[in-house]
Amino acid sequence: MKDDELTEIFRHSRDEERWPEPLPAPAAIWWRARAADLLAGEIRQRERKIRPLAVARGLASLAALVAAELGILEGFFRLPEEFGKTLTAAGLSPWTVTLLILAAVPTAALIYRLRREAPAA
Amino acid sequence: MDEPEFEAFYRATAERLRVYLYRVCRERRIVDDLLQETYYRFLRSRFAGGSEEDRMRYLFRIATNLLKDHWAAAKRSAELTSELPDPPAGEGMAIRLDVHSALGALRAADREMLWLAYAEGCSHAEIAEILEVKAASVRVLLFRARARLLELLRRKGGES
Repeated sequence: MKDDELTEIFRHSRDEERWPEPLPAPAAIWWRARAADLLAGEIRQRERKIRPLAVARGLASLAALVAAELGILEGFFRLPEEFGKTLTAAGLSPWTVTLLILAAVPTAALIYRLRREAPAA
Repeated sequence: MDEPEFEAFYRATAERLRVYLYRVCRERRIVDDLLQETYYRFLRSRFAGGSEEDRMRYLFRIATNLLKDHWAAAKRSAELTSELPDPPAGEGMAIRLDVHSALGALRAADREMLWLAYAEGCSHAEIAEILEVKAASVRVLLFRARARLLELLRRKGGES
């Protein structure tokens, strides 16, 4: 079979084959794409709007965390001597307790945030 | 592209694309879904090609990628059905049926290649662009696909 014959057969299929069903409506496709474009634009705009707020919220969280940690450290240096002795008698050094509390603050904050952001089951 | 412009473009090209999708995937029930998805992605891409032929090639490219995605997701290449539409009556019908039946027995990549070359009359460079293969390898791939098709036709001729 020559190329010309193959071309004729394939072209015949391309040009003459018509399905009994009508084509899907173009308007539905166009509006679906348009709706998706509008939605994507709206989401982008919304993200742009809330970006400064999200940055400010992040900075405020960081500042609060640093303040809490500094407060704990300051509390440690002002600890009454008797309390330190009680802790030592219980087998814990005041430094260990302070480090544990320092680690507990960001951990608690992280757990709280994860629980709040977890999608409802 | 506004709605009337899209509608005119769709009316001019959709039947051609539908036949391509059907002849390559041979699953009638998914053809219209793929057709709609092709035009949807075309619109979302905001393709700014100049001529209608540029747009048509881009449509074929999207359609070909959608077919690949479909096969990859469903892993159905081996179990493709062969629901052929009613053949058009007239002279040369038997040989056309033989060719389409042989075409159906080929690999999807061969069907794409042959359809684009012989039905759409695409050049090697255009085929390479649509199928996302190297332009230099199209000549060899097309030659092999054609040889496989002719071999199937020869066997069919021997059987009957």
